[in-house]
Amino acid sequence: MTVVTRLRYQLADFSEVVALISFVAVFLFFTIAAKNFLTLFAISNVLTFASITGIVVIGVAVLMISGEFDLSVGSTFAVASYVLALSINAGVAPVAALLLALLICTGLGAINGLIVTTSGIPSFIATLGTMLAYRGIARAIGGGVFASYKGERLLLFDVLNGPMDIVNRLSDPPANLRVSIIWFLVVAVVMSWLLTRTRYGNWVFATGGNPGAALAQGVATRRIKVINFALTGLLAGLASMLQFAHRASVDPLRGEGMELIAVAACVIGGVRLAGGYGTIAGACIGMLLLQMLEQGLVLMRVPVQVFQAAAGLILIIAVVSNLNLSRQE
Amino acid sequence: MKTYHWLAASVTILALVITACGGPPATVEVTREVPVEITKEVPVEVTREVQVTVEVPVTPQPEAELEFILVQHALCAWDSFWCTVEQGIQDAAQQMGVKVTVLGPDAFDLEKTAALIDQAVAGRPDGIALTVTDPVLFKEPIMRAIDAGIPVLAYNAGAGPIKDGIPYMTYLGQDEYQGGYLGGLRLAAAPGAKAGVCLNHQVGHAGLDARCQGFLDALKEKGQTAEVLAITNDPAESQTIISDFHTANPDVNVFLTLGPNGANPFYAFLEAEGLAPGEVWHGTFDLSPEIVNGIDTGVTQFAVDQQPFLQGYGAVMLLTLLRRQGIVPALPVTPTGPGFVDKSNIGIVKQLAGQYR
Repeated sequence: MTVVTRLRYQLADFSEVVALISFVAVFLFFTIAAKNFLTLFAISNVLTFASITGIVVIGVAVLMISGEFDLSVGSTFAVASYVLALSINAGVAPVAALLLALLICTGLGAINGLIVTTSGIPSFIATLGTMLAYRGIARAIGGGVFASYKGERLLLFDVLNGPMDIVNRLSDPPANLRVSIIWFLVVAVVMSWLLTRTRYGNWVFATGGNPGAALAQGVATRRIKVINFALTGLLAGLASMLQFAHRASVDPLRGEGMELIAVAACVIGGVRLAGGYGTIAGACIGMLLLQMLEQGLVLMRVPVQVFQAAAGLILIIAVVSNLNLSRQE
Repeated sequence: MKTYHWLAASVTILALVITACGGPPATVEVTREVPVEITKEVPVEVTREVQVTVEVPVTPQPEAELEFILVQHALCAWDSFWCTVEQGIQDAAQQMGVKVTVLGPDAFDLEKTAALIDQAVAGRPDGIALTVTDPVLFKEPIMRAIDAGIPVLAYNAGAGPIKDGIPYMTYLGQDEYQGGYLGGLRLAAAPGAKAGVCLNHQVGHAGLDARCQGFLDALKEKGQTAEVLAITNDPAESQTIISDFHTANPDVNVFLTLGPNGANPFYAFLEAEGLAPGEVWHGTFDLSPEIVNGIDTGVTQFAVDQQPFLQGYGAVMLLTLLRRQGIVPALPVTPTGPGFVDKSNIGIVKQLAGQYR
């Protein structure tokens, strides 16, 4: 066995290491090519902005591992913010409004799951439909206009996504770290533990890897899928709450395109499109890589039109390298 | 008997005389309750214009190589109005020998724009010019730029450092409310104008909302009804929305669009419905080749011109003058409009619409 083949066998078990290698490569590239990249402010920007979409990515990753897609996460994201904004403005207590929004999002996710498991429609198509439907709900409840909260700063907002001033002040100029980073970390650790150390996690991999065999072995594949769809909805709602806690305004197009960024992040992170394979760590690394790309390109004064092209290129490279490096022959 | 008659006559006459001259007529005093106004001291709020000291810690460097970052809430790629602004930016950059990078989101997304401002600040440019499309949402990232010692000025969108409560240098643009108000008055005076609608393609943009508000106020003042209709930046979708609105509200014959992204679907709607000038009255903001044609053919009564080329050019120019010669804008608002382009002066701008106008 050559060194390369042995390396490939070893990497096959650690798809997130491949993502980590890409991440380090891009990081080094920007450290050299982009001025001011290796500053606390730039890095804090990457972490803070990645943490919001990152929470959505975690949900999408778990769902992808169980073999399904959810294209409606962006629309669910918008619905959550509208529910929160309109409830608080109507006088509902902030915590109650938050719980209501999260409940509704979990429900929307569960509806996705029920549609997919009972009708047999591929999740790609089913959630394409619910993406439009939920976007319609967001526009309807919002009246097609922005909804903002303009009152006194709420303690709840500081708990959800306040600035971490104690750490921020350590650098000059002050950095841009926010509490959403901690939420992102907590959700990542909890979901990672659930996936790798519990029977539920085992069943998720089984459902995605080989649904027929899993069902034959007594895995409740339907229940797992519905749970995962509900979980994706819940995490999209949570991410939406965190973003609203920072910038208390939502527009009818909020979250559009988020579903594709989430899938891209998962794929870059080594989560297999066919299901049954992947890690939360990998998906998080994928998200951080995409966000780092945006900040790095701004610092390099690259024209904004190049961003999407660069992200697409990295995505293709990541998929090809993931397939090649971790292929088990 | 004679004496008795004389006595009776005398008494009668005397009684008559006494009755007739009984004294002055009786005056009746009537008292009634009259409410008495009591004036009391009422505290009155006095608003003073607070001079916001804009600290611009800059030592002039005439030979400096400069690079600026401009952050906009829209791009030429999907809103043709901005092509003129970006033409101004590029021309100024070339003529003054400075480097500029223009950043903006892929769709009208204020959250994304705010994130881009933060990312621009990380780049430590020599100056940042940006659109203050939502002063509440953008205050935090702009303050970060100012606290980092980067000169900031607003162009195209904003109300000035005092009204926005953010100490940037100046706002280079037009008074949006006035534009809408004056435009509204012109349209309300059109013969047969009954009710109006403001077609807003970027609801949530404080400036565009102010234009519609001005228009609504003007029409209400003239005794007409008016409302706002939200359309999108997608021309086909917008045309459908306008068409559906017209079917539901056939008596609305005054239309105000807020830019080429509103005017173009409106023109397509007019053509599809076969409506002639005089059946509907149309006014718009900004210029484009289609709008110029509209004014020429009488379909459009006027275009409110904010001189976008000057906005882009001026933003780069002011930052360059600040950095190189220490020159600071004098006033919190440096107006570029509103100006009215109509049939009387269209000849001046005809050739240049879309590129320099």
